[in-house]
Amino acid sequence: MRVLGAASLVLLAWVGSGLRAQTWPPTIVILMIAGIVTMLAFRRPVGRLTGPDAARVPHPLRRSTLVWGVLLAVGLLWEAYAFFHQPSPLTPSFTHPTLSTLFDPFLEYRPVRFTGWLLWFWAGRSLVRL
Amino acid sequence: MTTRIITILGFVVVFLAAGTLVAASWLRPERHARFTETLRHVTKGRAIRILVLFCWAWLGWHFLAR
Repeated sequence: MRVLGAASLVLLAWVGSGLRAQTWPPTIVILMIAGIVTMLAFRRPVGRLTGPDAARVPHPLRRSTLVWGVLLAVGLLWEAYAFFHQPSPLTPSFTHPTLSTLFDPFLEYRPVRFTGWLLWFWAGRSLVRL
Repeated sequence: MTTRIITILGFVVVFLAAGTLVAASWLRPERHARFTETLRHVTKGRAIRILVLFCWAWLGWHFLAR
């Protein structure tokens, strides 16, 4: 069953990577997968720790949350710095490339896009299994 | 050094820092929690979980469908 599931995802990634970008079909596939993953991710109970429970969060976890948060903020600020130096939101800048501007030329190639789809599925699966 | 190189280097530094954090969590688990443990911890709340799922979906759409 697991092998069948994995094979289906690989097949879907292959089909997805062959769809023309900036058209509805890949958007629909992504929306469907995102919907399924969102439903599965909410099988895990929701409930943030509060009061004395919150104070009992292990120290490494608190430190990692802080460090990853800072790193994410720095990454987002750097992306925003590049984005707002573009001539316009839809015009890439050579001197201030955003991550999209840097990755887009590689994503023209189907094997790279296929790898991207597989990575995206893997990330979604990880979010479900947290 | 051109502005382009500086911009790219900024991203390289962020990715290297992320890789270092992941490596540190494997080498010194008593000091740094694993990325998945951290993510599990922060997505206990409904709002953050929705935000993380939205970011993941948006990244997929932005890079693979747009």
